[in-house]
Amino acid sequence: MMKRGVIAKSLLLWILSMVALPLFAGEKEQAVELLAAAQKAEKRAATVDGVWRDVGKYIANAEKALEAGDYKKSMELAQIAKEQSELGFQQMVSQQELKIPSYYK
Amino acid sequence: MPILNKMITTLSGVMLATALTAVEATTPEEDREQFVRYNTERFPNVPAEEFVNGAYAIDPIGRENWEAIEEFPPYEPFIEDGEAMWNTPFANGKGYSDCFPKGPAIAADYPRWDREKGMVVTLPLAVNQCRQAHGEKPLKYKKGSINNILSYIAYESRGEVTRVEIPADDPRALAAYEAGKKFYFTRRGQLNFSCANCHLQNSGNQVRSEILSPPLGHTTHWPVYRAKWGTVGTLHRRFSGCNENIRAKALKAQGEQYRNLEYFLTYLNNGQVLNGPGARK
Repeated sequence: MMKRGVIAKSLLLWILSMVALPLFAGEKEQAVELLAAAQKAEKRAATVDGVWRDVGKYIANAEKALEAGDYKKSMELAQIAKEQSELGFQQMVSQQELKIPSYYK
Repeated sequence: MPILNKMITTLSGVMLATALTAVEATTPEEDREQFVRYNTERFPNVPAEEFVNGAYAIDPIGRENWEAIEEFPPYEPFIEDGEAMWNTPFANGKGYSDCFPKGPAIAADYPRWDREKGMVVTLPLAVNQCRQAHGEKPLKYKKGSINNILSYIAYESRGEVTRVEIPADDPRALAAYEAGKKFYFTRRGQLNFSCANCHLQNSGNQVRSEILSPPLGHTTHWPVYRAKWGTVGTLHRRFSGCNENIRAKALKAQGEQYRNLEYFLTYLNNGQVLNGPGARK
């Protein structure tokens, strides 16, 4: 009985190491990639002066979370920064031509 | 359903087209006349000379508080410190008066188009150019002692009239003015606001507890002692604060964008009397 228990535990550990650890490793890679994408999007928005106020903070906090191993949090923050940067870029590009609003007559 | 979608799309397009009027080429002087007309029609009860007092020209309660504050102006120590700066020679024995031989009453000469440099030169920039030309460190553009020297210059310039020039023979000057105009009407930040959204479309309305002042007179009273800051600050510090309020990343003080914005906005205020330094909430 004792031997069976040890074998079962070892088997469980082996399964965990084969399945779960690579999953975590994948999460880290994803977080690194997403952060890099967010940084790239911020730089692109900056080329048209379209960076939104909090993007820098989101990226800095995503970096901190990544260093702390909190990949989920890092990805959440990087995703916000990426989306806001893309919107900031689009916002500026959509107004390349000066338009005077109708309320100003 | 596809027909309905198409109708909605078409309608949205028409609405957008009517909301935004395609820009017609206007001269700076036509822009200024339109700006003054817009302000005077929006605030018909405000006497022309009162616009330089900002929200206190339209808010009687705020005015009472402001007049009480002006009895012992919070910017006074900054003027005194600025006068001392003006009169203290640099390490090389020269001083501000060597750069500005007319004396300290020079605020109305700025911003100005610098033909040689091909850029708008504001007063804070000119102050730092003077310092650097004489081996002194430049001052920071938002906070700190730059506000002392600017307060003194503003005080000595009281009563002068805003008179920004856009030299007709240098198209780069007009381009800088137009860039400032474009900045003013461009929506930015997470709130998707332009300068014009607050200061033209909603001037006189409230944002939280504050009344948005008429834009005519916006450039006459800098630097300003703001209760919120607890000190005197520059116009470009205010530009930065405005941009951050609409959740845009503030641009660099004395960078090209803000200098051009100042050039545009100050030109629109041509004819307005200088009354700096000011005190505001």
